[in-house]
Order: sequence, then structure tokens, then C-alpha cells
Amino acid sequence: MLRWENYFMKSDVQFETFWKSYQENGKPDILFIMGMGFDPRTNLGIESIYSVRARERRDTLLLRYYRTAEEKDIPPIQPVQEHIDRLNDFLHEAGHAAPQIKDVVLRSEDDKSIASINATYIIPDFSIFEKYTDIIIDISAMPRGIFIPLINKCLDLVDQYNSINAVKKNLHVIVTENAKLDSYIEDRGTDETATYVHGFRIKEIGKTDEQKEVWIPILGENQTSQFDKIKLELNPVETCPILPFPCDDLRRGDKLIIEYQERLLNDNNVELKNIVYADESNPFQVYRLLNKTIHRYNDSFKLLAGSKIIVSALSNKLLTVGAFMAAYEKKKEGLNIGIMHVESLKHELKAEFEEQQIEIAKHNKLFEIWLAGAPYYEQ
Amino acid sequence: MRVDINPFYTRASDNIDSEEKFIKLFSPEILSIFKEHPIWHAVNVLRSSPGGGKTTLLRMFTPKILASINAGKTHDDHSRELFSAFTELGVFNERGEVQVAAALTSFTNQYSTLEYLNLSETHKIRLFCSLLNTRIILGVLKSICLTKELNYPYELQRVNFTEEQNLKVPAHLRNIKNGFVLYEWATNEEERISDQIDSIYAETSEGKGVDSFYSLDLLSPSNLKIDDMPLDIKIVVMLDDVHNLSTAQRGFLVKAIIDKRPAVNTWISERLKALTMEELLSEGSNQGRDTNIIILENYWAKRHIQFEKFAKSVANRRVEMAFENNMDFATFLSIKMSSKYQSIIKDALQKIESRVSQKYGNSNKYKPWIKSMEALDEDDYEKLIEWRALEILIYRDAHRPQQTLAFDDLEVEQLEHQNGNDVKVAAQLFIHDEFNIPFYYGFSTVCRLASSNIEQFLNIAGELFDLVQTNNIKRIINSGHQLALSPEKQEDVIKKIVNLRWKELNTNVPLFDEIKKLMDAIGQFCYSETFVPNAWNSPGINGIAITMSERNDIKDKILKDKNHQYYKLARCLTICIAYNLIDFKLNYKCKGKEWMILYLNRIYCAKYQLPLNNGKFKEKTLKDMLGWLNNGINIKPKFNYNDA
Repeated sequence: MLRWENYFMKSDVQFETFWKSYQENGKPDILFIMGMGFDPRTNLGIESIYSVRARERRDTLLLRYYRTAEEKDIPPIQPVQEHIDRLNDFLHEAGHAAPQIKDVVLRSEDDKSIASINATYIIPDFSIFEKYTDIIIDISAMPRGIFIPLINKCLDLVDQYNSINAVKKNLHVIVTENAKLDSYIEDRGTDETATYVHGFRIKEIGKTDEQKEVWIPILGENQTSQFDKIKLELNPVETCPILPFPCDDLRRGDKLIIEYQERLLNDNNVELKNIVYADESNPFQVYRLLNKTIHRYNDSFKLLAGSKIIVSALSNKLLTVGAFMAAYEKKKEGLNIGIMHVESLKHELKAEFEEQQIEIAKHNKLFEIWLAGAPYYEQ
Repeated sequence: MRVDINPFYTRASDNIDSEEKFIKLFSPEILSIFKEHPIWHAVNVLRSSPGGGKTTLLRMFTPKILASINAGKTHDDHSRELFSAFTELGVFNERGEVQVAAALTSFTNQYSTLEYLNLSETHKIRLFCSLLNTRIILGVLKSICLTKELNYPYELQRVNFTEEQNLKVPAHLRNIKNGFVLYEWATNEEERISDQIDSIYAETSEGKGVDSFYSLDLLSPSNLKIDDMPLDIKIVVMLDDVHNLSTAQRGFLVKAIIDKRPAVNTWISERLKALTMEELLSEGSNQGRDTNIIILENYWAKRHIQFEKFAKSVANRRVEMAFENNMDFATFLSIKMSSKYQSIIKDALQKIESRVSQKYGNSNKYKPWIKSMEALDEDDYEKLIEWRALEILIYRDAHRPQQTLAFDDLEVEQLEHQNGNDVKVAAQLFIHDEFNIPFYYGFSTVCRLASSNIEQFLNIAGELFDLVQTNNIKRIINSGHQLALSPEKQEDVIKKIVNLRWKELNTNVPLFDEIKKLMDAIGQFCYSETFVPNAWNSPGINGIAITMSERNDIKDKILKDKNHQYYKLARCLTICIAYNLIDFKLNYKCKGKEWMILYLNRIYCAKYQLPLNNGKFKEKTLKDMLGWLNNGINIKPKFNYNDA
């Protein structure tokens, strides 16, 4: 049976209803981990959850990103400063403690990506979680290279704790999705090469030399250069793209095929029948489909020394969380699976955003994904 | 892989799974680099910008490729050509047996990850050395099996290590005397270290291991036997993509290998960007008796004709994959102006003829020259170039500071003497600038634009070949449709590529805002010096020069002092060199001084409308350049062609 065969997920109005009733009835002590960035969704999650009056612990761990260690001395750009001020004001008014700030340096002195390694060390050990019953990770303002290793580490620590303790710790991932807003955010440059997310490197060793590579890219808009860079690092015998469907824009999948047509249709390793469709707003469905796909390939290649599965999430955060869950579970089962990505060096909002922001904000939708803890154990 | 769609997009260094396909794309001209340097018994360091051909070259020496050449030589001309080139290098003996077991180890970012884990420095170095040693051991053992046709890994049982006590090898390995036992030990060790690197928990112990590259001694042929017979082949360890290591790891590795003088042939390949700022400005001057440093672009830059031959062969191998008939890629790049330009050329010719006649037609001195032009029997474009060149030469003569005292007419021979190719190229550039008639076209131009980098050549040629393929499809409907591309189409494509490349630099090159300012200033300065009425430096300049003493200051003082007023400039210059935006030449003697010349990469010459030929530059000081970097350049207004 799959770990997340039955799952707990709430969105939109249900998100608010759930958190209100959970806080009122469950009396949780919460550690809220969030990233601080230019993204207008940065504070929405914490404002929604911490608005519910409570007497229990409400602590905040705030991640500040710096491109290099040298940048720590430079004041943040205006939108980031505004978000910091807004957060501090909110916490102060709600009577909660000021956030504890953790610096995350994204690139080394010699310009190598160290984001995912440093993200792994944000929570060094379980002692950080001891005072809390619930840990919430808000990934709305976190890049992939940060939130995948961060969730990985937290989930591993919580799993270890829960496996030997009767009272369980709860791990939630929340995210504010807004496809419209995503389309206003531009990548200003990407890393020169694709890399594995720390903790999700496939084993490329003598023992696995003969294993065949299978690549599962979850496709998203404006990611063709990332797609190319990942492809350059791999030599897959099969490529199995995942497209979003159902989705808000019913033609999104078709549009993506058009955007990637040169790459998908000119590649001998891509069979159109390999394309998998997954609900863009349900990470658990992606997780299940990926699980099935991985199983199928693993079984097929068993006779030929096995397979190396490489998953690349080039799509929205919900689908990326789904991909993470599948990779996490399969890695624990001993499969040779990895997550490869290309780090974005800088994001910016398009100039037109300013005029449209009120309209765009209407599309914000909060999602709660309860990853580990009470719902997954028999009472 | 898009190999079957446009073979120009296929890189031999990509994961081409078929040896035959890889060999087919390989052009043996590049092997000539080993004719200048002793290939064996030395450390070979190959350096270039991305796409210089390093990995392709290394891969050619690997066992499966060599076996495929050997097998193909009986029925395939290209394999035969390669076989003979490799035999000359001692890779095959006279009986056709492979004499080399080469193991290619590529550095991925798995190694550099190590550098940033929460581990002690000693532990990091130990893990790095241990992982690399295991990979070298496994690579060489596999290579020996492939070369000697042993079943890998089981027949490694037949491989033994000599009984001699090798003190350079760690104690725990000295008892291993059998290849298969060593293989088993190395695979387990490799897995253990890989798991440790990918662990999400920080390791607190110091860790066991070694901090040397003992594998390079252990695998010496003199230390190995197969079936108790001494190993009769050379072992080559090839370490590719060294630039993927962290700065500290690379420094440790390169120093260790060069100091060690390993018992096996060791080749290193890396991108220029991996070099320290000091190394970048030194042009391989630490080359020693046992170390060959080969910078591929520099090698080709000194031999442009050979590079053009190499590029032609590389291109034609790809054309062969797409078209059934043997066709020459150069023939697709037409040098004849299309009919669209005939009237523009005619008008331009008329304009220049009347401009020259109006200004100088009354002077008896220039009448013979003008008359000889009027008698020309060439096509209009050729005539236009000749007339524009004449305008330059007369201007030069008329504006000489001291006119000749003789009143005689100028001889036509004198015109022919002065009207060399450089002036004609300058004339073409001026025509391009004034009338927008294409300048960047033709096979030679594409080769020049490559700046001695074969991938740069393939990128441009690939885009052009895309259109050739489209023309080929159009021929299905209209058999008369031309395959070749007109000069204006070629120039269009080239300018698009240049703009795209420039845009991409924004994300790939550090400090690009500053670099852009500096490059723009150099480009605009060269432009302003090129487009002068007398074209004094024809065909134009595309570089600047600083004195060697200023270059020494950069290397020895400025780069070592972050607070130095020229530090930012020096850093920008080294980044430009590392990212192949600028080529340089050291110790050039001119005007009684020695100079370091900084040439713009040829592809960016097209951005600033500069000539692509080598050679012309203008002296500048670091102070001038710092001014450019801080304030941009203040260019004098361009001359008006009609007033000149």
C-alpha cells in the first residue's frame, strides 16, 4: 500500500475552516517555517493561520536568501523589505514573537550552487522541533532548490520521531498557488548546468553502471532552457513527460505540448503514449501516478540490471511536492531515484504586474498538505 | 537527441550511444595538437572555452571507440584515416593492436558538493581523494578488460599486481594482489562515499582515508600482470571537466598531479573559467618538461587556415548525415549578392562614382586612377568595392600631412600597390555601413566568427543549415528552388545569433553589468577607429593593447589587492578571458615596447560592425579602460560619408 494512499489536503475556503477549527480544538504548538522574498504571496499563509487567536506557541522561522555570502551586508530590495515590515507588524499586532531569522546563501564564492546543501542544514537536528506539536512549512516564497531538501529533512526527522513515539509530531506543507501570478514572474537567468537536489542524487557508481536511465519531467511553462540543460546531463532510454490535466485552463496541456514540441517530437526516446496527465492542483494524484510509472519502469528494467529514475519538476509547486513525495518514498524503498533541477538565479515580476495586481490577487488559493503525523496513524 | 533532424546540433561530446556515429562525426585534424607536444609520459592539460573539443578528443582514446576504428578500417575510408592518424601517435601498433587502455573520469558536481558539506577540511580532502581513487581504479580496470578483451569484471581474476611493496599505496591495499578483489573493494568504497556525500545529516568524525592519488602509482603498467605476463600497453587516466570542482579541490588536484609526475599517463581537461585570475593572464607559462598545457583556441588561432580545414571537415561530416549526396557545406553559403540587392548596389555604385568624380575628378593627379576604375570590367558589386577602395586611397593621398612635391600624375601601378586586400575589406565594411549591403556571409566568415572554437562554429553553421534543410524541403514542390542561402539571409541569421548570445551572457557571466560596459566601450572604440575616412588601419581594428608592464601589474599587484583602484577592472578583464569574450596575446613587440593585445571574440565583432581579420589594435592604458568601465565611452561623432 502506498504511504499516502489516503491523504489529507484542504484548499481555499476549506483551508481557512480547517486551520481555524484545528487550532481551536487541537491546541497545537506551531513552528511556522517560511521564506522571505519578493513574491506577493510571501505573507498570506502565516497571516491566515496566525490570525486565529491562540494561547499556544506560535513561533516563526524566517529564511532570508542571499545570492552570495557577501550580499548579507546589502539592504534588501524594496518588495522584500516591505514584506519583512509587514510580517513584523503582523506578528507584533497578533501578539506573537518576532521571527527567528536564518540566512541561506544560495551560491558559493566560486559561483557553484549550494542552495540545496544549505537548505538541508536549516534544521540541523530534531531538537528544533521538540517544543512543537506541529511544524508548518510554507513554500510559497521558497525556490525548489530550498523547499525540496528542507521538506526532505523535516519529514525524515518527523518520521524517525513518530516511529518510536506514541504522541506524533505533525508536518504540514502549505502553499499559495496562483497560476496567473506565476505567469507574471520571470526567471532572470538560470544556473549553467542542471544539478541533483541534495539528498536526491541518483547513485552513479560502478555497481549501477549498467542501469538504464528513465527521465520523468513534469512540464511547465517557460522552462524549455531548464529542460534542455537537464537533458544534457542525462542519457535516458525512456522519457516520460507529465502534463497537467485536469487544470483551470483546460488547454494548458496542449499548449505545453506545442511549447515543447521540438523537444518531445524530435526525440527518439519520447513516445507520445508515455505522456502522463496529472491534476495540476492535487499533489497526491501526481504522487500516485509517479509511483505507478516508477514501478512500471522498475519492473521492466529489472531483467536489464535495473533502472535509474530521474524526476524533474519544471511545473508549479503543488506538482513539485507530489514529485517529491514519490521520490521520498521510493528512495526509502531502496530504488535508485533522484531529483534533478536547474536553479534559477533570479526572479522578477514583470512590469505589467503593478497595474494588474488587485485582479491577480483574486486568484490566490491556499493549499494545506498534511504530510506526516496524526492522520496517518491508527488512534 | 536531435541528431536526425539537424546533425549540426549533435555534439560529439554528448551522449552519442553509438561508437560508429561518434567516429563519423570526428575529424582527425584536431589530433595535430599532439604533433607539437610529446603525447606520452607527460601530464597533458587541455584547456578551452566550452565547446573547444576537449571531451570529444578524450573520448576518441577510449577502448570502445578504438576498437570500432580498428574494426572499421577494413571497409570505411574515414576509419582508415583515423587508424593511420592514431597509429602515428602510437595508439595502434603495426599489427593493428590497441596499445592504450584509457579511462575517462568526468567530474560532476558530486565532487564539488563535498566541499560545501559540514565536514572538516581534512575529511573533505580525504573523501575527495578516496572517491577519485576508486573511480580511477574502476575506470582503468574496466578499460584494461575492454582493451584486452576480458569479460569485465569477472576476468579481472586474471589481472594481478606485482609482489613488490609499493609504499605509495595505502597499507590496507598492499595486500590486495588481484584485480577482481580490488574491483570489489573499490565498488563498495565508491558506494559508501557516494552515500556519505548525499547524506542529509552532517558527519562529525574525521573519517578514514588518504589524501593522495595513490591510484596513479598502483595502476602503473609495470605494476600489473595479466596471466602472469607483464602488461604491454600504456595506461591513460583522463580527468575531464575539472572546472566542475571547487576552486580548492581543483587547486589541490592539479598541484598534486603536476608535482607527482604520475607513473601512468595523466590527462586533464578543463574550461578556462576554472583557472585562477593569475593563471588566466599567464597563457600557460607554467608549462614544464613533464607538463604540456594546450589551450585549444590558442592552438587554432595561430593556424587559422588549418582551423578552416578542420571546420570544413566537421561540417561536411554532418552534411553527409543529412544529405545522401556528398555535398560541401561551403557551397550552401553563397557569396553572390541576390537580385534584391542588384539595384541597391547599382545606386550605391553610382553614388560613389559621382562622389569620387565630383571631389577628385578635376585633379590631374587622380585622373589616371579614376580612369582605370571606369575601365573595370567586373560585376557591379566588385566595381562598387573597387570604387570605394579608390575613394579611401585618394582621401589618404589627398590628406597626407606632407604632399609630394612632384606634380606628376600618379601611376596606376601605384594604385594597385596600395589597393591591397585590407583596403578592399575596409571598403566592403564601409559599404555595409553606408548602404546596408551584407558583409558577414560566406564560409570563411563563419569560420572567423567561430573565434577558433569548434562549438561556436557548429552553433552558427547549425542555424544556417536549418534554413538549407528548409530549402531542401521546398525543392519537393519546386525542384528549381535554391539550396544555398543568399548573403543577406546568412547575415540575418548571424546577427540574430550574435544578439541572442549577447542576451544570454547576462545570465551566464558574472559581473555582466560591468563587463557589458567594458565590452561596449571596447567595441565602440574599435568602431570609431575603424570608420575613419582614410581607413588608416584597414581593414579596421578589433582589439586594444596594454603594455606588458601594465599586464604584469595586474597579475602581480592589482589582483592581489582587493582595494586597489584597478581591481574591478582587472577582475572584469579576467572574466572576459575566462568566458571567451576576449582573446589575448602576450609579448607582442611593437613601437619598441611589448604589448598584451586584447581582441574581441570574433562573434562580438559582428555586433559592433568590426572586421573579423586578425591583427589590428590600438594602444590603451589601464587608466583609459577604468574610465570606460566607470563612465562608459564618449565617442567622437562618426564622419559623414558625403563630407569625407
